[in-house]
Amino acid sequence: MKRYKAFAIGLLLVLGVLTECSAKEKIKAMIVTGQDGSHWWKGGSDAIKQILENSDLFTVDILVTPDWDEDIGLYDPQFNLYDLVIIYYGGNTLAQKTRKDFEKYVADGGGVVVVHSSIVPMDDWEEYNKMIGLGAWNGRNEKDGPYVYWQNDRIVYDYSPGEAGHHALQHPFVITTRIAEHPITKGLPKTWKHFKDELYGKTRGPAQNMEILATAYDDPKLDGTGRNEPILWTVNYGKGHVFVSLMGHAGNDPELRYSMECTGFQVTLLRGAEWAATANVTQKVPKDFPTEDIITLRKEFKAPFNALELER
Amino acid sequence: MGKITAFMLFLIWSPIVWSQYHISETRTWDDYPPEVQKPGFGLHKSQKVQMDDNPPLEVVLLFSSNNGHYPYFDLFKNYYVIIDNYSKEVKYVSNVTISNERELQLEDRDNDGKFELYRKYFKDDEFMVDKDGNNLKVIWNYNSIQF
Repeated sequence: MKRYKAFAIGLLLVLGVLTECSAKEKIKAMIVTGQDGSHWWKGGSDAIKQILENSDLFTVDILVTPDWDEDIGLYDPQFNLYDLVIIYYGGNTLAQKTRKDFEKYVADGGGVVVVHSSIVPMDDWEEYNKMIGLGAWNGRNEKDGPYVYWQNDRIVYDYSPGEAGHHALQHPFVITTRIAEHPITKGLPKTWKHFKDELYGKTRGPAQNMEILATAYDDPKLDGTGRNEPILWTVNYGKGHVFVSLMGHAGNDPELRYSMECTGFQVTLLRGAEWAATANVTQKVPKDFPTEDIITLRKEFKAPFNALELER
Repeated sequence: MGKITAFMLFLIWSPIVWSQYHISETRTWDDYPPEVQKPGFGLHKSQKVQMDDNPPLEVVLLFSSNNGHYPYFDLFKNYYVIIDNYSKEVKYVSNVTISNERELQLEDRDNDGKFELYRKYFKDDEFMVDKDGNNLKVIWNYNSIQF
């Protein structure tokens, strides 16, 4: 009997250690969010947390900034405690110390994911503009860099004057993979349809050390720009990796986040987040990934039980 | 003398005389007078049709603003403005209605040579959706605007 007890205790200890080791292996991520008058940042950041944590690859802390009328200087996260910082934010420019800490964190190799409208704020922060590669609205124009889009199988850097930022009414749109061999896009269909979302266009910025992974055609019949607009891209900043996804609108009119329910958004976010944190992607393409004709949704922000049976 | 003075006073106060010196205000707009655009609304569509008995056509303009995005539909606030295309007189400005469409539906259903503007709308705040924002339930109102 004593033997059994000793064995059981030993087994529990081993399992405990294994569980602890497994927990330590997870990528530690934090979300910068708050102060967004155009988006439901609470719901959006909660969805991002669920998507990442439900994959069992990440642990996520949400760190909300002070409100608009409060002192942004009070926001001073310890970025270096995390492998990954996700920006889902639309407010005031961070305070100087926070900016410097973040610049150092990324330059030293920290991972960053920038979601949807987070390319809009902080236009007066030069290094942030370099990190995001392309920005929109907030007075950005030719002074900030060229328009960047895809035309005739190549990237166009268009230096013509004009304001940055455009989106028409929300609608589903087809994403076209432009770099098939990148770890984030490897194995994804050449084209696939994203659920109803804002399609950002006329983005412009420094566009340095940038790779456009996927674009979407912004149809002029739907008041679009008529260009193949960048939707997914990466930027190398120092030793750090930045992944930008322009998908992921969460409306405050009313508070709904159906764009984030799209499997394509969730899978590319997960792959981009892993790549930004580790420079590698271990996730297989799930069976429920959308095609050009079929939109799929993960309304619970997690993969269905049979999603990972197939590797494409 | 009195008669002459009275006649001169009459001339001074006469609109006929003053109208000789009247200069009309310069029109500074092309498509519609700016005062018909309500804050937050934008011109979405316009169409020229015959709506009255006078030969010049009328310009019917649809102003719209978004009133909420849902997974499979959007809601819009709409109102219509009708302007005489010749005199540029604003003949009609509708009230603001809510709909999931931004349609400018102009038809001559009674075949009298004059078009009518048809509207489909519901009252603000009188609609329901489920927790996912689907299955819009409303009581639709239909009416037409004609001269």
